[in-house]
Amino acid sequence: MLKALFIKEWIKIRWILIGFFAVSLFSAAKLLLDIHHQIELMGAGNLWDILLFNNFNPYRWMEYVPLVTGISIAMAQFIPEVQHKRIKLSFHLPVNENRMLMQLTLMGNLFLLTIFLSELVIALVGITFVLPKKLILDALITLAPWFLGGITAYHLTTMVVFEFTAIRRLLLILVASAFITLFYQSATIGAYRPALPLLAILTILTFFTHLYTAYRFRKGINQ
Amino acid sequence: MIKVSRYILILLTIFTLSAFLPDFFLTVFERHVPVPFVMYSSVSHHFVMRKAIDGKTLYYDSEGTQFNRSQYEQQLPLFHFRQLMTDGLMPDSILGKPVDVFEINNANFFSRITPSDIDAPQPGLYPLFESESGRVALEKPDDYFRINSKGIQFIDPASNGIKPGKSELFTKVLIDKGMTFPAKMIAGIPTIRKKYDQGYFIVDRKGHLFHLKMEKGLPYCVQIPLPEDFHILHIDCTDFSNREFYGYIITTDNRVFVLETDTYKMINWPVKNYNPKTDKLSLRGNLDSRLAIVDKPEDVYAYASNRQYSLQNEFHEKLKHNLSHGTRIVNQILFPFRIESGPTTSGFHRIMIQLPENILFIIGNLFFLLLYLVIFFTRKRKRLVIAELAIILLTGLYGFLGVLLLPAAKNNLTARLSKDSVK
Repeated sequence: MLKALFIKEWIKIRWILIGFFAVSLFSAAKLLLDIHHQIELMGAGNLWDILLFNNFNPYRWMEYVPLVTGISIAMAQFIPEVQHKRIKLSFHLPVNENRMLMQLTLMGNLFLLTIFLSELVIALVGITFVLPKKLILDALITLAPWFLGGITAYHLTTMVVFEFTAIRRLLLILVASAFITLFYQSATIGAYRPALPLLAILTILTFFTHLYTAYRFRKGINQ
Repeated sequence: MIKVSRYILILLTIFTLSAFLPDFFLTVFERHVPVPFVMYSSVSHHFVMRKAIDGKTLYYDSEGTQFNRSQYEQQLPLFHFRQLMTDGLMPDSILGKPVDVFEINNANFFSRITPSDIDAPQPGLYPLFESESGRVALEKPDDYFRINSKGIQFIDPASNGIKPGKSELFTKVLIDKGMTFPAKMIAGIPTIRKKYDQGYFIVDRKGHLFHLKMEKGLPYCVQIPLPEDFHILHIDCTDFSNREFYGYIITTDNRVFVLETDTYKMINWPVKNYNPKTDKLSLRGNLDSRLAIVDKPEDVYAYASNRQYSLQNEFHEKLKHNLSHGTRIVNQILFPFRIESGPTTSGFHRIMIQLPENILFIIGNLFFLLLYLVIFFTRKRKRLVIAELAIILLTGLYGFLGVLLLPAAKNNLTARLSKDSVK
C-alpha cells in the first residue's frame, strides 16, 4: 500500500522534484565555487578572518532555496488533489483517512529530506577541506533554521491548500507566513544556535496541522 | 487526531500572534525618549548633561543650572578642547597645570559595553600577533589558534592543518604556567587595526586567568592572581594610548574592574545598579576623572570617581517610558505575554517568552473570555468546550483569535456560525 502510494506521488510530482533537486545541487555547488573563488582571490587566511571577525556570510543567498522548495512541492503534491476533489477517491480506500493523509505528507517529507540532505551534505563536506571545524559548525547552525523553515513551509502550505473557504484561507496564510518568518530573521553567523531546539519542536508540530483542514475539506464544512 | 491537529494549529497561532501583535502595537505607539548625554565637569565637579527635546538641545547640570552651548563646552574643557581653542576660550591652565593638548588627548578614553557584547557567539579561533616585531605596524600572522582539551593548537589556513611544532611549544608553556584546558573564555582584540598588541586574556577550565602573547615568536604567559570569590563574566580588552590598563573585567556579581598594565592589579571601578544582562555601560576617562554611565530602559545612572577610582559623585535621571501612560495600560491589558524572537539584548538569536509586568492582563483575558461567551450564545451554539475557555482565559486576545479562526470541526452548524463571526 505504502509502495503504491509512493509510486503515485512520485509519478505526480517527479518533474518538479527533479527540478528542485537540480536547483539544490546547483546551490551547494555554487557555495563551493564561491568559497574556492574567494580563497583564490584573497587567500585562505583572509577568508577565515572575514568569516570569523567581519561577519561575512557566504551562505546568505542559500536562505530562501529551501523555503521555495517546500512551498512548491506542497503545492505540486496537493493542489491537484484538491482540484475536483480527487483526494476523495483516496479516502474511499480501506485505510484510515488520517493515516492516509499522514502517509502522503510522509512521502513529501521523504522527497524534501532527500533534496535538503544532499544539498547540506555536499555543501558542508565540500567546505571541510578548506575551513576549520568551528566554521563548519557555524555554517550548519546558520543553514539549519532555513532548512527547518523549508520543512515547516511544506506542512503549512499543505494545511492552507486543504482549507477552501476564502476568508479563512487568507487568514491562515497570514498566520503561516508570519510564523515562517521566525525561521528567516536576519542573524549573524552561528547566532541562531539557542533558538534551534524550539524551532525543531515547532517544525515537528506542524506535521499534524493539515489533518484539521483536510477533515473540514472532506466533510465539506462551510461549503 | 483531528482535535489534536486543531489544538496544535491553535497553539501555533497563539505563538505567532504573541510574537507579532505586541510588536505591531509597539511600532504604532512607541515614542522617542530623550536620553541625556552625561559628562562630568572638571571645572565644577558636577554632572553636566545635554539632551535634545522637540528639536531643541538643552544643556544643564545636576544642580539645575541651565547653560548655552558655549558655556556647556567650557564646563568640559578636557572633552571640548579643540572647539574651545578655536574659540579662544580654552583656559591657560587646568587642574593647576599648564594646558598640554597632547597630554589631554592622550588621557581621554571611552568604551561602551553592551549586553550583546557579553552574550554573543564566540569566534573560537584567534590570530596571535607578534607583539615585538620591531615593525611600526602590526602584521597578521599566518595561523589561527584555538584552545581545546588537548591544548593550544595553531591552524594554518593554507593547509587547514595543525602546526605541530608551534602548538607543542605553546601548549608546554601554558601547562607549565598552570593552565587547565580547554579555555572557557578568550578575550583580545583580534585585528591589526589597533594601536599596539597585548595578546589575549584567557580564562581556563578552572576559572583561572592568564595573559598570553607572543614575543619574537616565543610564548609569553603569566597567571594573573585573582581575588577571593572572583568569577569572570566578561573581559573587554582596550588599546588606549595611555596604556594604563589592559582592559575591563566584569564579574558575575556585576562588579567592574580594570586590569592594570604590568602590575596585573585588579582595580574596582565604582559602579552601582549595573546589570550586564540588560544594561549598557559607558566608561570614560580623562586627566581629571573617571565616569561610568549605566543606561537602563527607564533610568540613567552616572558615577564619577577620581583617577584613583574612588567614588566622588553620583547622578540619576528617570527617563520617560517609551509608551505614553494610556497606551502602556492598554498594552498591559491586551497582551498577557509576548514571544520575543531575535537578538534583543544578546548577540544570539533567542526565542523567549516575556511574562507580564503586572496583573492587568487578567482584565483583558476576562474581557475576551466574556466576548467569546457572548458570541457563543448569540450564535446559539450547542456545546461549550472547557478547553477552549481555558485557552482564552490563559492567553487572552491570542487565544480568542485562535479559537475563532479555528473552530471545532465536529459540527457543521458550529463551523458555519463561527466563520460568520470571523467575518
